[in-house]
Amino acid sequence: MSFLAQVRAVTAVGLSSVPARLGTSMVIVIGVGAVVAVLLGALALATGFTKAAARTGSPARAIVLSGDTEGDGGLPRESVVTILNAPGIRSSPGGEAIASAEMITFIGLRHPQTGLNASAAVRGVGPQAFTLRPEVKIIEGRAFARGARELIVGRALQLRLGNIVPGATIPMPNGDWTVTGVFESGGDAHESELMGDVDMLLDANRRNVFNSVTVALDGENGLERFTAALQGNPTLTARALREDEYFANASRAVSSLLMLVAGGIGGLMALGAVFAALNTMYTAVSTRSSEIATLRAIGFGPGAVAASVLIEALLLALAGALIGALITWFLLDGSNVSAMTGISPSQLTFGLRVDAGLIVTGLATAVVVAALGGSLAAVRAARIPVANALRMV
Amino acid sequence: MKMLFLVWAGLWCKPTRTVFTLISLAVGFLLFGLLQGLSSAFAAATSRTQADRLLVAARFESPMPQSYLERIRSVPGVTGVTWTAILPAFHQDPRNGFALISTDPISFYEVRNEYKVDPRQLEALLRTRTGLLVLESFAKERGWKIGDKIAIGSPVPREDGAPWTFDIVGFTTNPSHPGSVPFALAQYNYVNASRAGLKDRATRFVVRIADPRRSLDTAEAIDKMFANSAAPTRTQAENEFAQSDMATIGDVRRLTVAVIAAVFFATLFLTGNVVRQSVRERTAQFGMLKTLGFSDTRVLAIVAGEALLLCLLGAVAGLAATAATFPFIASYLPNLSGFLGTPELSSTVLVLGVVSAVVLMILSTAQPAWSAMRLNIVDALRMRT
Repeated sequence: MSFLAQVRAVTAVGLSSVPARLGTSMVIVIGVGAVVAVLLGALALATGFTKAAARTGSPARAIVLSGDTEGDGGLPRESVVTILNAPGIRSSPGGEAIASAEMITFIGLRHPQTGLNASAAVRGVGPQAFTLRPEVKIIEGRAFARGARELIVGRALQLRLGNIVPGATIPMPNGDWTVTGVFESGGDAHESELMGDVDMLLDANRRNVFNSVTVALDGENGLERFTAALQGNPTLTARALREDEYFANASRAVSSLLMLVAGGIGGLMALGAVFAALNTMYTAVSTRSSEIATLRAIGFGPGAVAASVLIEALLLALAGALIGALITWFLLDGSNVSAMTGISPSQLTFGLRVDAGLIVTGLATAVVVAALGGSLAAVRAARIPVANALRMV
Repeated sequence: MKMLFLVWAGLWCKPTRTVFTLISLAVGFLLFGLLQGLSSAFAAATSRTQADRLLVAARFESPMPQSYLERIRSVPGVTGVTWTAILPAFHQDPRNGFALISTDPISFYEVRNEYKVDPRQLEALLRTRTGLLVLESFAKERGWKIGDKIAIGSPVPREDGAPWTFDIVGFTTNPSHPGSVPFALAQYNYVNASRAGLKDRATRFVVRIADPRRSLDTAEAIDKMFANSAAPTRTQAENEFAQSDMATIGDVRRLTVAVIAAVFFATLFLTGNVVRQSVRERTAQFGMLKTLGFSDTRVLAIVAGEALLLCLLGAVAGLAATAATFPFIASYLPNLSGFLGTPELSSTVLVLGVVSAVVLMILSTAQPAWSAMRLNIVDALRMRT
C-alpha cells in the first residue's frame, strides 16, 4: 500500500468516528469559526476605511490650510484673495481661477431610527466648486442655487441618515434650509457631507473666516509655483499640500491603528484557538488510541497515522473557517459603517466588503491554527506504543 | 481543606489538558481585559472632551434672566447647571483686557470640572464678597498676589459710580486649555448687585447632561421652554467635534461587545467540553467517592469547584497579562494615549472579569456537574477506567 493510500484509509477511519466525538471536535470548529468571524470583520473595517480614504483627493489639486486640518485655524477673506491670485492655479476659459474657498460647520441632526444625535458637516463651497471637483455629480434633484438657503446632500450621508431627501429641510442658525439634491463623488470623504453656497453659510454663522481653499493645479509644476508663491508671501500663514497626499496622511494613523487592532485581536484569538485545537486533537488521539494501535498492528505506518490526525484537524478548522466567514459575510458584507476618522470633519461613511481576498486570509488562518494545534497530537499518535495500547482493549 | 485537596488533585488529573485549557482561557480573558480597558478609555475621553455639556445663550439681543436656572434644572436629562454673567474688563490699560466672569462658584466648579482651584481658596472666595480668583498665568503676568486689592475698568460701570475693586483670594487653572483667554472669577451676588445695568441677567448657562448622545433632545427641550418668552434661548453643544465623536465611541463599544461575545462563546464551549470530558473519564472515581460516603452535593461541589478554579486561574492569568500589556500599548501608540489617556485595568474591569469567570464556570459545568451528582454508584463502578 502506498503512503498516500495509507493516509487515505487511516483518515477515513478517523473521520468515521468524528460523529462519536462530536463535542470535542466541535471545539475546533467553533473556536476557529470565532477567530475567523472576528478577524474578517476587523479586516473588512480596516480595508473599507483605507479604500474610502484612498479615493479622496486628487494629485491635480492642492488644499490650502492655516492649521493642521480643516477643523483648526482660519483664512480671512484677504488671505483668500491673495491665494486665489497666486500663480500655478488653472484658469477657466472665462479667465477665473478654478478654486473654491470653503467653510465647514456642523449641524445637529437626528438619526431617524435611534433618535440619537448624528451631527454632519456642511461645506460651503465657492462658485467654481463643480469645475474644481468634476467627480461631484448630482444624481437626484438639482444643485443648490447660489445666494439661496439651499443644500445638496452626499450619498453616503443620505445612506447614513435616510431622511435627508430633496425637499427636506435642515435646521441652520438662521432658519431652515432646503435640500435640493443628492450628489455622488466616487465614494470619497466628501460624500459624507452636505454642500451649499459658502457666502450664504458664512452669513448664516456670522463668520468671515474660511477653513480651507482648494485649487486646481496648472500643468506639471503647478504645485511648485503655487507653494513657492504662498511661502514667499509674508502676509500669509497658510501652507499648500497636494490634496491626495493630505488625505492619505490624515488617514494613515487611523488605517494603521485599525490594521493593528485587527491583527492584534485576530492574532490573540488564533493563539487561544491553537491551544483549544491542541486539546481537542490530544483528546481525539487518546480516545482513539486502541484503534490507532490496531491500525499500526495491521501494518499502517506511523507517518500515515500522524498525517491522518493532521488532516482531521485541518478539515475541522476549515469547516469552522467557512462557518465564521459565512457569518461575517452575512452580517457585514454590503453594510455601511460611519466613524470619525480624522480625514474629514464629518463622520466618514464607508462600505464593508467581505471579498475573496479576505476569505482566503480567513482560511489561511484556519490552516495555521490547525497545523500548530494538530502537529503535536499527530506526533503523539505516531508514537503510541502498539503493545501497551492494545493491552488496554 | 480535604475538599480543596480533592479539587486540586482533580484539576491536575490530566495536566496537559489543564494547561492547554488554562492558556486558552487566559488568552480569552486577556482579550476581554484589553477590549474592556480600551472601551472604557474611550468612554473616559468623552467626559474630557466635554461632549456632555451644553451652552445656553440668548437667541436674540434680549439677555436671559438669571431665573431661568431653576427651569433649566428641571429639564429631563439635565444633571447640573451653572450660570455666568460676563463683563469685559481691563487692568490699568484697556489693552490688558480680560473677562470678568461672575458666577455661583460652587456650581461653576461642579459643572466646569476642567477648571481647578485649591479648595481653601474657593472657600475664601465664598467668604469674601469682593473676592476674585484669577487665572494663574494671567495673575503671574500682572504680578498679582493673594491679598492684593485691585481696581479694574469695565464698560459696565457700578451703580454708585465708584470704580470696581476686588480682593484677590486665589488662583485657578484650566489644565486642559493652558493658553486660554485671561479671565477672573467673581461672585455673581456682588457683581450683580453693584452693576448699573443688566440686573439679574445671565450671559449664559452651562448645562451638564446625562447622555451626550441625546444632547439634541435636551437642547430642544430647553429652547422650547423659553420660545415664547421675552428672551428666547439658543442651546448648543459646547464642543460639536466631541459630539460627533460620540457616535464613534458608541460604535467602539458595540464592536467590543460583539468581539467579547464571540470570545466568550468559544471559551464557554471549550470549557464545557473539558469539564464534561473530565467527568466522563472519572466516572469510576466519583463512584468510589460516593461509596466512601461522599454525599451527592459534595460530589457536585468537587466538580463545580474544579471548574471554578480553572476559570478563575484563567481569569487571573489573563487579567494579569492585560495589566502587563497596557503600558506597552501606551508606549506603542502615543497618539492614542494622548487622546484617551493611558489605558489601565480599572477595578470595574477586574470585577467584570471575575464575574464572567464565575458565569463561565456555572454555564459550562451545569450539565456535567448535575450528571456527576445523579451518578448511581453501581453504574459508576461498573465502568472500569
